[in-house]
Amino acid sequence: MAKQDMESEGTMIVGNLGELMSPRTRRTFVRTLLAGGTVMMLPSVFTACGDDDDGGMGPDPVTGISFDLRTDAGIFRIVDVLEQLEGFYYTEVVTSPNFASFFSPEEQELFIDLRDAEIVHREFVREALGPMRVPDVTGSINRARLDELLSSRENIVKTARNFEHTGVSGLNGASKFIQDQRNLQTTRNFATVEGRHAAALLDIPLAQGGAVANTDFAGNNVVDPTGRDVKVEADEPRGVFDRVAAIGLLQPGTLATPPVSNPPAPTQGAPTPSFPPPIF
Amino acid sequence: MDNQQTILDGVDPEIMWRLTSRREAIRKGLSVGSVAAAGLAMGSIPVALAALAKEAFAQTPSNIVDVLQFAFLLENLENEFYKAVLGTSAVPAQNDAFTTVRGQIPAPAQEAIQLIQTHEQQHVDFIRAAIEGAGATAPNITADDFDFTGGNGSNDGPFAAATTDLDVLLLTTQAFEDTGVRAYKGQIPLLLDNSGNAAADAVLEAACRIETVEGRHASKIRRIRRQRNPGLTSIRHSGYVLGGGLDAAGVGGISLPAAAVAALTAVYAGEENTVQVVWNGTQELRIDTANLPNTDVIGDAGRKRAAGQIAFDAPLTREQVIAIVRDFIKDDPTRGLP
Repeated sequence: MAKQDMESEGTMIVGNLGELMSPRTRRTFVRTLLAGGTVMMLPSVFTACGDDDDGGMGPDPVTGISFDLRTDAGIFRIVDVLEQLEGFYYTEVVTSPNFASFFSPEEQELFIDLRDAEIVHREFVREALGPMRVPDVTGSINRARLDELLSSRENIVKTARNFEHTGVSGLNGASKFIQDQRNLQTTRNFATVEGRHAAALLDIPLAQGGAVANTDFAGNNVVDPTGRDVKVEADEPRGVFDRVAAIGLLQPGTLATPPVSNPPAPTQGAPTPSFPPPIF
Repeated sequence: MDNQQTILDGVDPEIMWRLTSRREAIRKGLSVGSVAAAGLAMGSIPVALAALAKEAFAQTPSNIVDVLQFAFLLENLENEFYKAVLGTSAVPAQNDAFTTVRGQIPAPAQEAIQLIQTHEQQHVDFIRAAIEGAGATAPNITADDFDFTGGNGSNDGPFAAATTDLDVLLLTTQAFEDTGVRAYKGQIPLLLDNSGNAAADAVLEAACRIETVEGRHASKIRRIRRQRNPGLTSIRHSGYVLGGGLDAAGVGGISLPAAAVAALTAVYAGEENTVQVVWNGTQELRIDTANLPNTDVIGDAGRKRAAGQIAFDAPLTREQVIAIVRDFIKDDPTRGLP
């Protein structure tokens, strides 16, 4: 979906139909037509439309993904979904037409770092899972919701805060269930990076040129009175899956209902009281 | 309830908030025994915490108590450091040492450091309660046990300039916070428990939640430093650690004694690592995060390597941490300090 980067003025190259589903491409498409420009459809646009798919563009929608939390792989599969969504969303953010007008150069640097790290996390966890990985969920993106979440600076900052706090709180809650020392080590290696992000995003004001409190990076809505960070269980009110649903990027039904097929075994541990982050 | 109202009248709003929040937590399902409930009713956080800890941590295995003792020492070091910086140490000489630099701290940074100190005090209190809840004894550590210049009691160690120069102070603060992150990261795998021991899991989860708070602190300090020095691009607005060794410290134009350079190099040793190890249930995989598929959008091989480095923090062993902090702690073998 990076073809627009190469467009010269007045000419638009479309590589596949999925691109036309992206709000950015759609806007360019309409603008190009209105300006009397040329839209080139590469052959791949047509080959992508096999008669076995329902008008499919890019990956097919998936449904009913479920999670068996009795193994470390089951826990990593939740991470897989989150990182897929984050990598996808931040890629959309930094290539959206308003990115440079919504955000200062310092803030743009932050979002590009964020995209890079989350893409690395995504590909890392998918390599780790191999055949146990979750299907590509980007075919199940709710495009109208994506448009909305990209439509303003405030929506982007809030969505990013929601993603990062879901990551921090979810990883803080899931770590006790991990059974292999190497997996626990690796999980914590990226959990604190999510914490660094979470704090950085709380330092970005919702309004351009606005202000945040100097203590917002770790205020008492995200650090409890004993100095401990946010923590949730995967499947509980205000837990990981609730938060993913609140962000709303996935079409209903992408994840199974309920998403957890088997909770962690008693030897892995038991759920503990949570300190959920707000929905920003 | 009327009785409780009377007791709480006149308590400062922050304490009120803590109590309200704690009641909220309890209402949401945290089971609480009678002593903890009494502590809460009395409006006493320490009494309530100690009682809750006794219920939560009584069955903590000794190897895990040992990790708590190590964390307790590090949290005290951080807490007493910030108190000295802010001028709130119980030891006047420690406050006096930082008088010059204290006058240079802008209000926004002061507020951030004040919050960080508050968290470190909470960590000290929480970990002490956990140690005592497990039936062990936490040492009585005071500001007198530390030399924040890293001089092992000389008060003129390699980080002495932190008491007179704001940029050195912030660099030192960043190093303390990143060391904290890395120290927890080294200890957390040792807390892993597959027996369903609730106390062990409680310690592990608390360590994880404290670790990400230290990550928030480090992120904030890095942003404060970058804003003071916009050209120092190795320090990221995102709060990431980029690269390893001295590069990751982001010294910039600060001139430091050789011993401080060596210490900072040790603080970030191994942060450049890009290989992450997992067990997938049948085999161990060593995944090079600098060389993953579907990452071309990041850029060339150099940028991919940087991304692989920033995307993961790295652990320090206890021995590495002790080597870093040893000269900040005055020798006192009789009290078990390193």
